[in-house]
Amino acid sequence: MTKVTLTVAISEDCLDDILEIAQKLRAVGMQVNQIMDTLGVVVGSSEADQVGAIAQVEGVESVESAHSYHLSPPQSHVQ
Amino acid sequence: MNNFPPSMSQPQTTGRYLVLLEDDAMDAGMSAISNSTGVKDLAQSRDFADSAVTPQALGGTDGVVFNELGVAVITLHGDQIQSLNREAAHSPAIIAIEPERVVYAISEPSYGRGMRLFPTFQPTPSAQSAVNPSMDYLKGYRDAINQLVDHLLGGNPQNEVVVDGALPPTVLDPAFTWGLQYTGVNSSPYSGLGIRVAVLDTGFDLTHPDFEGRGVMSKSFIEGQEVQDGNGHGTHCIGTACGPQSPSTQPRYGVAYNAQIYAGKVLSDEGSGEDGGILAGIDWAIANGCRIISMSLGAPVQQGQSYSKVYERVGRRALRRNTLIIAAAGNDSWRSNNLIVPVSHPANCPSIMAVAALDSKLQIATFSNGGLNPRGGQIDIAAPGVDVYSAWPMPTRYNVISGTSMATPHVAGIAALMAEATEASGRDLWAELMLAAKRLPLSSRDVGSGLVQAPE
Repeated sequence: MTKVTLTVAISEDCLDDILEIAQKLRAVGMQVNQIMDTLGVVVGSSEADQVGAIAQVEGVESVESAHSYHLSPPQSHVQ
Repeated sequence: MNNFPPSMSQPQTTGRYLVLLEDDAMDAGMSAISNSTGVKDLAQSRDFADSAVTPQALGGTDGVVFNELGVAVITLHGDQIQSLNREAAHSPAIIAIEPERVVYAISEPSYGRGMRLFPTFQPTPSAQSAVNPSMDYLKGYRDAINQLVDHLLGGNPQNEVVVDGALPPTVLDPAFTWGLQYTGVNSSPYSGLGIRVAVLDTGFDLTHPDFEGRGVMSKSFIEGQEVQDGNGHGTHCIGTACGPQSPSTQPRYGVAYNAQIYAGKVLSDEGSGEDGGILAGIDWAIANGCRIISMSLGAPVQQGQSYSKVYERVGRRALRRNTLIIAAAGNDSWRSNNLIVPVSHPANCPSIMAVAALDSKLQIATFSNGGLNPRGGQIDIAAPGVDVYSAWPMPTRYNVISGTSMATPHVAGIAALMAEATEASGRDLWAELMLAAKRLPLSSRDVGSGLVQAPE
């Protein structure tokens, strides 16, 4: 199985329930690493085939696979 | 040099005066007008149907107050003007007085050549019967501008109009980097005092002598690495956004020298990062009341690819909490080989400001990404991003590098000056930056609203 890192945005009207939503995300197989209540975002990981179930959790607005970021080396002229 | 036709170089006046009133003191302003001039018969636009003042009212009364505009238009004679001027000198309710200008309506056929800036409006019979001063005023204004354009184009309609205002200063002051001069930071009275600026990057050289005594707040979101910058990128960006007024050696390279620096390490010393750290850094900055978050980081996107809904939510929620997120457009283009790549994630989110890079000839940098994707994928503003001199971790101390990463902290620092000058935040701060930007004779696809400008 493939493990994916996910960012999950909580919908606007469920921001106060972010802790309960994080519990539900765990229940459908997401390993929750961070709960950011200011932003209304949960970050974690899951098996790739569980993403569909995660997106179905009530209060979840959108699920995306996490981006990674890479700067050019410090000695390069354009950064 | 005066190229205007005689009738335009010396504007004629109507005998009426425009009096600009303070927004929250309209009644006091109207009283001040009446008391000083004796004019009692002031009509008010809000008393007319749909607030549309009729021509009869304009001609038949001593004056009209346009309530929504905060402007009174009044017929005044010599002694009344003097009296009103004296009143204005000590009444805070009256901001300015100036004569109303005559704006000529010009018959169409004699100005048939040349370009038309505005379409010629032929009123329908119903519009004609409902004609009001504002319609005539607009038509006159349109005709005057069309006449002006025809005149400037003169006998040689092929000539292009050169926009002098976009040219860079001819003589540079060695006391400031080119970027600080072209953005007006060198002459701005503002310093970012009282404004918290977060720079989310590779951390910061906390031992750099140029920042001694600045009390930098910092936090690492990279597991196993301290804030101390082992890369250089973060120190360079913080240097541009918040570097000192008087560095140990010239030139000055930093914009908001009195801002409170929040250095969040969300990229490792090797220059890599993940969403978890970046979002945690944004969360930290918002929770600490940072008005501005500068993010010289991104991930490439394909043409046609949509923006991240998660980051768009984050950008919106940040704006709602009075925090403006500014991000680099990305360096993936190679314009000298006709390759333009779309604005990177997360700068491509509508609620995150995307910054392009300019060189010291105010041309778009060859590497600077462009606004190719719809719905948020545009460039919002441009800033100096080629050969940018700023701080670098000791013992190197200073370094000159290029990139939209270097343009972004110019905008962030100037946003701090703007926040101090206008007390605006969030969407209002965004708008202030757009309003102030110097328009350039370049495509908005590449530079958005133009070159970021510091408040004067």
